Amino acid sequence: MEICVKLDRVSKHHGATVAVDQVSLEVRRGEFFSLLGPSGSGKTTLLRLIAGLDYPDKGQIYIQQTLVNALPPDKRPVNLVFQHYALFPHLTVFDNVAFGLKMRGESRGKIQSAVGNMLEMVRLQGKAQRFPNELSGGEQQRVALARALVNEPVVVLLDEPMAALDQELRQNMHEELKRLQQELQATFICVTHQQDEALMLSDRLAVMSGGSVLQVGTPQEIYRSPQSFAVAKFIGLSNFATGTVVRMENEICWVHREGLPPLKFLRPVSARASELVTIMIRPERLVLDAEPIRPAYDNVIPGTLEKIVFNGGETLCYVRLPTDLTWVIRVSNTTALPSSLCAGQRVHVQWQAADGGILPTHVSL
Amino acid sequence: MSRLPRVLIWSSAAVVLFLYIPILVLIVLSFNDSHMGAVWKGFSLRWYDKLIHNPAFFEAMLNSVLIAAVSTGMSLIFGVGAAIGLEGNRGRLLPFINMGLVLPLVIPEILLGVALLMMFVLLQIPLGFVTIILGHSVFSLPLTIVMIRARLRKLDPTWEDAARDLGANSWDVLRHITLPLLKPAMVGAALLTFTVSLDDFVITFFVAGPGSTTLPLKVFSMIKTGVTPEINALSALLVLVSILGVGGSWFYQQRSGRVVTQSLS
Repeated sequence: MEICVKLDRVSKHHGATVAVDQVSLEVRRGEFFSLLGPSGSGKTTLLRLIAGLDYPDKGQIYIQQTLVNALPPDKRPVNLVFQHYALFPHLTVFDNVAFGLKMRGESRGKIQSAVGNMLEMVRLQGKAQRFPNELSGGEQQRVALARALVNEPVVVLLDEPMAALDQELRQNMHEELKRLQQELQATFICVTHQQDEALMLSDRLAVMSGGSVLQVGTPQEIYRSPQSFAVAKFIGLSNFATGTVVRMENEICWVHREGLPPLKFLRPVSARASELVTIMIRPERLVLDAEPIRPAYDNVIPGTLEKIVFNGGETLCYVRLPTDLTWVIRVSNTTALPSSLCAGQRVHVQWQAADGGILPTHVSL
Repeated sequence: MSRLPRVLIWSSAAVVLFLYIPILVLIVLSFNDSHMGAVWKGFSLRWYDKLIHNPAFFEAMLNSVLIAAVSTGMSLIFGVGAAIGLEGNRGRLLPFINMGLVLPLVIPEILLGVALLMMFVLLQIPLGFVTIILGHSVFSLPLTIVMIRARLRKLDPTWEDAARDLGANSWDVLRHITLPLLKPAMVGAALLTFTVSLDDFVITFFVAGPGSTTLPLKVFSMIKTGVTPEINALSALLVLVSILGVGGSWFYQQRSGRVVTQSLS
């Protein structure tokens, strides 16, 4: 796979604070890559570094194998879609979209046809002569996209592209964005703090926190096998507990936690005996019933059903375990919850060894 | 909105009346069919007729317009440049520069007039159009800079980022983004400085030379031989032009300001 954008130990300080700290990343040609993290995690700064609107203090940035560290933004083959679109208020939709081509000195005819095609692609052909303040939020966003895409950049950078849109519009724009990316075969790098967006849109994503990249992978890898507590906690819902590795045997290891039976997990490569670890199980991987189900699951923990929250397509069951932990179990409403279950009842939480995960520990839970 | 106390309404009305009654009286008397100033003898346009058939008046008007146009144009060119330079600057001297810029607007005009006269004499620049235009720039330039900077501060810096990202160099950004977005402020500043220049008396009085009599100077010289209704007519015209200029400046800024702030939200 050809590498399109490569960051090599890039750092950027804003005064005394570190916005981006020694970030190394490789983004492949034609992929939809997301930078996911809470606000202040340095993802927007990273985007501005790639666009050339900021320059790194340390490290190298390559676009298509060319070092671009000192290249001004107008000389880079990338275009940025700004968070609040930054459409030029004194120009029509047509002139906004044509701006990049005009700066490049394209001929009038070429501009006419390229802008026309682009507006058609984002379904705005009837609005070419409108001004930005006459457009709805969704239309403004499509203009911002068109203005970037019409230049056929090697990389399209998107800064929180959905942040200013309402929920319904957001769904439509997800599909729109994915369609455009596939039609143009362009590399998209998208900054977002919304995990569902990142999981749905991305081919791969990087989870960021405090200016560093915590983990890079496909949405499935990130969700199923987070490599740190921070990633597991940030992405989706999880149940955690700290414990000690007591025994290892081939692919299997056992974790002990005071008050619980020994718990069986697949052994991570890094695991060492008597190491303190955090175990993690996603709520939809847990099975809940009054009695242990036969054939037996690898792990069975007794507990008390505390409350049941109906949530449309699924039901969330909160179970208090013997060690003062409360875990949540997600039961799909396609299979009815055993009707005998009700709050206050003794239940058993059970799962297979392969459905849990072991993380290096940083916190005590 | 809560109702204002009656006292406030009446006192506001009194202030407005106090400000405008003299001007109204002047305008009304300019239509008076009488040689004597204060006695109403019927409606007439004869003073306006007399005015426009007075070649000295036309000469003074041409001088005034020429001086106002050139000093406004100069202030605009240098003012916009200075404003952009100052807004992009975060130097330690900036507060002092800012203070220095508004000083000419608060220093008594008569001092400025004397100072300018002394300077021109020292530099041996003959008094006339050039000195009046330079003199007017002393207040036109700070006015322009203040107005342009106020507008610059409202512009979203990401517009510049967006333009740079789309391939514009610094010059392109200035030409295609900054200047068009500054246009309302530029028109507003131009209308205002044009009006102020047209009306200026004190500085002009000191730095004018032979053959460069402006309208206010003309009015002043006519008054020396008694206040005739012809002066009333001339003054009424000056008032009208000033109101149009200042009103136009305000209106234009309001209207175009709205477009930009709307697209920001």
